[in-house]
Amino acid sequence: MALRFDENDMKALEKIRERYPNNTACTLPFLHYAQDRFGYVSDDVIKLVAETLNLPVAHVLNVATFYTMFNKKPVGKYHLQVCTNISCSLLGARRLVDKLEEILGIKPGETTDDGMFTITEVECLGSCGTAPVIQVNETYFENLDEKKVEDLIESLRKGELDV
Amino acid sequence: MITVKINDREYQVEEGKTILEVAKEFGIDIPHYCYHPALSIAGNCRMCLVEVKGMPKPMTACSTRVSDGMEIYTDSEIVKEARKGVLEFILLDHPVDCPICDKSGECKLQDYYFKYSAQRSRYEFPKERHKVQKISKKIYLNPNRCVLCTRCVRFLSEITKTFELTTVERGSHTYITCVDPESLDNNPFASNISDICPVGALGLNEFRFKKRVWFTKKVKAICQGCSAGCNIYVDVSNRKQLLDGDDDEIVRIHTAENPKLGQYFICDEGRYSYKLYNDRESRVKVPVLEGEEITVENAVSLIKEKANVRKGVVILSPLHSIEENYAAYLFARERGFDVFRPSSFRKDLPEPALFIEEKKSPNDRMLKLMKLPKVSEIEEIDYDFALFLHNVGKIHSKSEVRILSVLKKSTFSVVFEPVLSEFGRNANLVLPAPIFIEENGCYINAKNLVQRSHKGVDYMYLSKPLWFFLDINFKSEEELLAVFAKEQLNIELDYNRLGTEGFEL
Repeated sequence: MALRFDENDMKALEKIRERYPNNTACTLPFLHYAQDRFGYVSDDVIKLVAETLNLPVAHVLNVATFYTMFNKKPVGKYHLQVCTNISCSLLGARRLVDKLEEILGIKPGETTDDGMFTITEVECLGSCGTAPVIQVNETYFENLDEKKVEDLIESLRKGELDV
Repeated sequence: MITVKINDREYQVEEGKTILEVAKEFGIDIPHYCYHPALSIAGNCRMCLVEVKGMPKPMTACSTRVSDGMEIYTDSEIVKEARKGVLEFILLDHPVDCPICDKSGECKLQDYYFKYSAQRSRYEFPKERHKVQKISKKIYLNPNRCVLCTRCVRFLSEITKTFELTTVERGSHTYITCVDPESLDNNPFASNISDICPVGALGLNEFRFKKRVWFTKKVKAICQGCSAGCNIYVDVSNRKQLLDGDDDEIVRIHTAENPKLGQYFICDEGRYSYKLYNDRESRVKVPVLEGEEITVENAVSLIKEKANVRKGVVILSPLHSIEENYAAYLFARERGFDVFRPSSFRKDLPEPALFIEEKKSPNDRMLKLMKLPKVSEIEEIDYDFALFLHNVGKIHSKSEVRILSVLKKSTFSVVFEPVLSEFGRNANLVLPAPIFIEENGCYINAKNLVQRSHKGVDYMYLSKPLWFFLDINFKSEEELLAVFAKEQLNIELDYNRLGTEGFEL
């Protein structure tokens, strides 16, 4: 089944389009919108965005693969993005990744079978002052250690956190 | 005009040009990968770094414009160090599989590494590996050998505007990928990306594992496919270096740039046309009189005898060079024969067409400039003697019919052609003609540019230029060109004056 934007989508996209000088400049915001809408940026989504903006598929693919924030594969309900850049690593990010692997039984880049969690190692999240940091979907969890990570996963499983 | 100093020598240069362009003009070599005269400036390979006095760091010559009083050094210690560093980075993730690479021998990475770097790699981590893939029926992509100059991406987005290739991922993970193989199959210029690739990442499936380039000889010629007159290199196996005996076979055709013509690419139809010329079995090998093979001497005296008539006709060919045509013209004029010209074969233009011309013959313009009447204007077809020049390729079908009837009706008809065609089968005498790379020949393209195609191989079998068969007293093809230019265009012209880029009329 071919993907498509419905009427509401088109209205929202038209609003975004108005804020930019040309279609090329809309590539990023449109991709963000599409990721929110469809969950991840598949080849079909890339084609859809290219079609909507009347741009070559090659251009949209180039942009979508350049930025790591676009998920090329489906992610779980909770996308655990562990910063493994220098500040977080110095303060034990590696141990957090190990802990997550242990609790969830998956490696970075993988998703749990129940579709709840995905672990990804990411570059600097711009929160070095509160390192180590894990970004769950759009929310930051700061000053973490192994115990706090355990609690975090527990709360997420119980659905106590709104992220 | 402004003054710049390059390596302590002063040069007067035009404002607005880049350092690389200026240096190229004065014969100073600045190594580069991503720069291409017909494409936009990318500045991403960093190979063209030069030192500019007053600048804190080396500058990219391809993207830095010259300014008055600029002092540039292209060979200083800083530059040498920079080149060495750049090459080490470029080669970090390279497989160094030169022995099985088809670009080997004409690869910029090989050449520059040998010249500017020549050091051991200090990289000790595993290299990223991608699969080699056929991205189109014509082209393969080996991303491992890629230096990410993006010439191919820019060619397909700026020249053909078809956007089949792009870079994906980023940093050291970046690689080239094809998003639309079907479009690449149908792109009439796709194979150019193999020419402009400075390394072995993009190549032609046809040429893969076929021939080491140092066992070929590059012959600079003019494409015979249409009246655009594209400059090409015809690569033939070099018999001097080869022991396996496939002498003088054409192994490929690739682009020879001509800035005067604004031509930096060729179309795929022209590129793959070489196969037509490799068919040796079909060649007219010796003069043939009514199905009987005769000697060249007999052919010459026979023509002399049979042409000693009052009512004769010579039909020239847009598929032959100026020299061949003019020999026939002089032969006709001496005897007071009629001279006609056929119309060129036409073919609808592909999409995009760019520089491809509708008329499918290299020398249509010459016959037009001579103001010769068309074959459709022939009134009585029963001549005593008829001579027609034909070549590999086609002429207009209406002209074909007309010429065939002239050949059939005439008392004695001669056809000069390299491959036996319907014309030869209907003539009394068939003369073996050389193909374009067997002789020096000039052609006038659709834009009135006279260009020379070079002789690269010996005459095959007993083929000879027409002036030899017609026994016209000339020592070389060059003389024929000079006579043509003097008589028909009222100018002095020789091969020297044509130079490498041709002479504009």
